[in-house]
Amino acid sequence: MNQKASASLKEALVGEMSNLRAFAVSLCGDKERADDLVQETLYKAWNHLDSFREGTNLKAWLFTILRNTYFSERRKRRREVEDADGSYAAKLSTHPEQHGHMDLQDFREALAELPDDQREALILVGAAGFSYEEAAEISDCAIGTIKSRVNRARNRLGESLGASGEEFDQGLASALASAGPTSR
Amino acid sequence: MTDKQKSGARDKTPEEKGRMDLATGNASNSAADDAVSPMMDGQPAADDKSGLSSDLQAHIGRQLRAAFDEVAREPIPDRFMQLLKDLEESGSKK
Repeated sequence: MNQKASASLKEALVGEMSNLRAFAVSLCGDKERADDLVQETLYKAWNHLDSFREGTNLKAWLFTILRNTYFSERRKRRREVEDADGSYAAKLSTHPEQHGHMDLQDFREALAELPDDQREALILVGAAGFSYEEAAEISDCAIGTIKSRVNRARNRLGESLGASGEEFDQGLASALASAGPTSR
Repeated sequence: MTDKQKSGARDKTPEEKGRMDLATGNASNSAADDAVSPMMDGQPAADDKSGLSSDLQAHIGRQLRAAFDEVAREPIPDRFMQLLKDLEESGSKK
């Protein structure tokens, strides 16, 4: 790679890094592991640049590398440890540190309890800003599959968050008051 | 990741749309979405699969973005800047 190309790639990667980290943390629920995932993703991206088509979506490409890395690791790990989900949730709940808002911490835990594929779909479409079509390409599945994963994830989150009844209503009321009535 | 993305104009719209859909539940045109048409009057729909009140859906959308954005707003850790610098300098496989 010549100097100019490598400088511009570096710049592009830096530009996507914040989103990539946020995706990794949301996906695996563990900051240390998330940063390892990001590091691996950056290595792979740099060394497999020839498989990236100029003019296509760099962000989607990076997200694809990261989620593939995550899922292949997870499959390996699952063979070793039976209750991967249980240990994941447990680990998450022992790290309340930097997440100030209790509300948000509850949400993270509920998110962590979703099946992997549902959590991924929800994050891609609901937070990372991808269209259903892009999310389907990233996850290598049909658009309809992404949509149904998002719906199931949303319903499940609704159940676990809605379950706390009055407490939730109060939280919701204040959230609505501070955040305004619509999404951005 | 297809040719159509070469026309950069496409980038913004799906992003806005994706977020909007999730927060409001006003997603369009699929069998899956038909099953979750939102209750516009905000009434919870008990055990109906179509499920969530629009308030609750909007709440979930906001929390999701809040959790994501909180990390996205953090400064990039030094290790990554260092890594990129190393990659750039060596320019080679590792």
